[in-house]
Amino acid sequence: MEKFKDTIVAIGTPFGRGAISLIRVSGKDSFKIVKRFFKKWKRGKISFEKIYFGYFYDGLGDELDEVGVIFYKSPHSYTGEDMVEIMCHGSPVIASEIVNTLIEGGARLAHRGEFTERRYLNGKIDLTQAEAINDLINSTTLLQAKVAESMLKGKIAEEIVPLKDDILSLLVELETEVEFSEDGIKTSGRDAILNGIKRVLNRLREISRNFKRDSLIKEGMVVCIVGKPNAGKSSLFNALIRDDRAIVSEHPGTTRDYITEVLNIYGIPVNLIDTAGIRDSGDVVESQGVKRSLKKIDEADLILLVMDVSQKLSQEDFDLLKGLRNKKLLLVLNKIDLPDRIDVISFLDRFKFDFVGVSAKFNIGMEGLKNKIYEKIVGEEIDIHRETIFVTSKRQQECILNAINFLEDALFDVMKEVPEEYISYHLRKATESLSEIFGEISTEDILNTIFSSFCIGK
Amino acid sequence: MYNSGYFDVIVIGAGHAGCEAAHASAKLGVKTALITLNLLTIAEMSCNPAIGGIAKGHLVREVDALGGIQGIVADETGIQFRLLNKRKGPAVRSPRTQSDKALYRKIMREKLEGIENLDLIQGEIIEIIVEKSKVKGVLTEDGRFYECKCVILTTGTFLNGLIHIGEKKIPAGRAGEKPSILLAENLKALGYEIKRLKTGTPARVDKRSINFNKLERQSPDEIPTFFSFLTEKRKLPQIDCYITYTNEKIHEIIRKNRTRSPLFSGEIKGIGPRYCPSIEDKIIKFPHHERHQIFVEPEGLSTNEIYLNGFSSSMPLDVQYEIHKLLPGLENVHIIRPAYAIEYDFLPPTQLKETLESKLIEGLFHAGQINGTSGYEEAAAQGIIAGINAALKVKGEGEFLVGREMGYMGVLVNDLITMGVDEPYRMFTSRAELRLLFRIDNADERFTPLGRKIGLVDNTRWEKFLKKYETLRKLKRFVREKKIDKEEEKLIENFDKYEKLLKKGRNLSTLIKRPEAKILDFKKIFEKSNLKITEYLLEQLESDIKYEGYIKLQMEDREKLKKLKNEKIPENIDYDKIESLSNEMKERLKKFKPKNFEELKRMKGITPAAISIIYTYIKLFKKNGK
Repeated sequence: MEKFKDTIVAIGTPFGRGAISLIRVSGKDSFKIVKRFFKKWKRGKISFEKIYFGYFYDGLGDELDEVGVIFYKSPHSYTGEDMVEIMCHGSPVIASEIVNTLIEGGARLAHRGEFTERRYLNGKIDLTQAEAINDLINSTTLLQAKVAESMLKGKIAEEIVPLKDDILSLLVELETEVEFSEDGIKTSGRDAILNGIKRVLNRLREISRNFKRDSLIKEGMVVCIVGKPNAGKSSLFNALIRDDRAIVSEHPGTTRDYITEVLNIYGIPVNLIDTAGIRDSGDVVESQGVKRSLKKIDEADLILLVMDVSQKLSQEDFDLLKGLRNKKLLLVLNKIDLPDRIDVISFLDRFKFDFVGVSAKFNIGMEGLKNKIYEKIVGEEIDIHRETIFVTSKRQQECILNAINFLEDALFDVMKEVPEEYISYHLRKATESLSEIFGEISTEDILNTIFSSFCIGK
Repeated sequence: MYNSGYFDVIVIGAGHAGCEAAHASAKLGVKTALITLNLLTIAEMSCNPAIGGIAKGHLVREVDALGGIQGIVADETGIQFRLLNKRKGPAVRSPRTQSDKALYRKIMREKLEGIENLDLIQGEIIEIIVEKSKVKGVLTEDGRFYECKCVILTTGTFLNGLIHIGEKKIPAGRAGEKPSILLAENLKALGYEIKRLKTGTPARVDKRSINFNKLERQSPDEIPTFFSFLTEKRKLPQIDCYITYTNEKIHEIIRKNRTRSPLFSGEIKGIGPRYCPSIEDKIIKFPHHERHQIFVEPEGLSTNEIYLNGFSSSMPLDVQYEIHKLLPGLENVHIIRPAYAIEYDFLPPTQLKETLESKLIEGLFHAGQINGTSGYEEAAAQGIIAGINAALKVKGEGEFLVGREMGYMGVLVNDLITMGVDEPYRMFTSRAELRLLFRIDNADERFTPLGRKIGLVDNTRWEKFLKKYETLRKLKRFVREKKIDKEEEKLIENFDKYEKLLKKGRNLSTLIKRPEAKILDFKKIFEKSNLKITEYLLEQLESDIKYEGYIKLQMEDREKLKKLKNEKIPENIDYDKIESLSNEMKERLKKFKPKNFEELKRMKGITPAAISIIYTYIKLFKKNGK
């Protein structure tokens, strides 16, 4: 099979300058290819999982770098295949020269995620772990990394497996009732079933709620800065990212399109978008930008409506407020360093909006703003240390939601006094849904438990 | 060796699998012989005197719907019909009957003797003659050679059978009957993997020595539920069964003598059924139970023998005598024959194809306990499938495959050949993922057209079937269109129950859909339809209407199952190349060779990870055009 015949290579460390770079090679020709270009200083046979130092040469025999090399024998490696890790000096130029040399020698540049894919295909990890590793690689903030890590450690398994066991024990009761009640075997009855289903249901609902926050962590949020021209949107944008990427100008309409930057707010990646000033304009370029901005506003999870407190509220401000009233909105009262012209208290009394006062120019109130953004998005205080399950993929969330639906059906059946085998039907479907995350409950599992917990047999 | 003749199909063993196989094969018009050690024990009920039970009754119905014989004989010899799970939904209700054992043997033999193409032969088969991995014939101990195209092995507990009573061991196929030792050796030599199982049977005691006043009574149903779709009336008078209980004294004696049971001394190596444990097993494994139920069941109308269901044992005789006398009502009990455990060889059924033909030897079929199952009903179901397939093979008419989407018979075969067995396999409704579709009342709908196509369903059965479903179709239309008017309200029984409902709607089908509604309350309204109705038919209609939602859901499940079946696994797949599979898994896959993902999924020990690996491999395999 071609997939397994190839030997792949890639730089394993982030691109850029660092103390060292790591190059990984995986596949059945890994040893052969690397040995062609690597001369170790020590004599003797190579043993595995030990580091060897030596020179790495290019195809013409010229020395490229002093490197450390570790050989891993299948299946004792990350991918499960024969693997080599080469540590070279942390220059992007050297690392890519080494990679090019290895490609010349017969390796192929790995696709994104291919090492993990091989790891999965070689049975080193299951699907949920593979998904988590993928998240780990793609994670941009520390909290994201934590989420991915907790998945890897089988947090999901720790949470879901006991729930599956709970459903299994309910199934055992129901099936015993169906198969053996005529033999005089007594089961624990409807109330126990009812409570059992409720317990599992509550826990799953909780897990599902967490998913919302977790998916924020994973996929990030979109926060749009909106306001009338020259209210200080770009200054606010820059203050938030502490960078000078957006153009700040005294002339309204400078930001003609939207600008976006990823911001880290307490671990949640926030796509901060600075929209073009929204106003009717004859300028074709600007109105294009306005159109795009409106679309962005539509997609945003939160809108920061910037108002200039040093100026009187205009019709434009009120129009914006009106137009955005159905959105999740946070008022940012900018330029508090200047004498204010609007009566903030009476204004807020009228509209009952959440607000923060800042001075983008002097960097005043920015932490408060970030806190408020976090609160608005997550709807709760953050505690990254809490021990809770993280459901990180949409697929997993779907499985859990399906399970919830089936359990609700089962609950309905119990209350309507529907016979056991129908309740069992829904519970089995629920376990199937949970099993799609991993693992399975088979009929054998149910029967095994029946036989060990009831004294069956006429 | 004397050449004693030719048969198309030879069935070895005349138990419940053998009789059904011989019946089906002969009825399909091929020359068939049924060879047994003893013609007097044809269709012997070696253990309990009953047919049916939950899921087992379903099997009998399906066998009958195909044109089998077990249901008819069970109906003719039934002496206590009871529909089980009456308080559950229609899908898990199932008939059971106590049977008159002697009559069962007699009637079955008469029916078999009346079949044109069928010869009954007495003799012990010691060898199956195989040439180039193909069946050629069979050889009896006394030197008779019968040539044939197909052999169906239904040897029950006879292969290397060994009875245990305490420390005592007796080689036997059943109590007082010779085991098949040479045939077992022959099968081993043919290259079969052979494993061992254990089962047991309780003592038989004399009716006259029991004080029935001390026992609880269990009575038959007033209206019997039959097994066969052809049966209209019951033949025999109905009897009662009784219930007694074990007590602490009995438990104490068993615990004290525990090491004398071959089960606990390690003498018995075969694995016994957990759903049918011996009394010592129950007491040791469930020490907190104060008492265990024992059913007191007559073995027939004209015998004093009583079967003590739930009291099977492998204890030595002195212990057996002591504990029997401690059962309430049995203080003066006279034991006719003691309880025993029996170990026997079986051939793991993963060595079979879906037709129950051996993967190893062409023309050799296995059915019944030799495949590791237990139960007369499981045996008959395999018997009819093997019988049909052997006959079809002789006639060159292809294969008869029963998938698990069709009914319990399919679940049975599929479980056996994909998962194999670790303990004697018994059918349970929970084994069928589509059980809400597999009701006893629609077994004919699921199997009779198939039986007709094969040629096993005669005109009588076929016409009855057509008439029934035509009426049901008309009834369905009637019930959908029927609005109950004021005048007709008087015809409803238990009218109070429906008074409120009627205010919401007057459509008959909507009313019947309500969980609290009973279709029989509307019988008089149905009578106005001028259709030929029976209560059975109305109840079938009720199940279809009331559980329509679930039926639809399960139909979707059935489609998914079929889809998995259609995900084929290439025959030339090289599992050695899938490096991520464990060696054990590879060996298992190479041996079993699943044909599709449905089979793969059901294989023992297969993990979801392994399935996704194989799936990915096959997809890549295809993509790379290899």
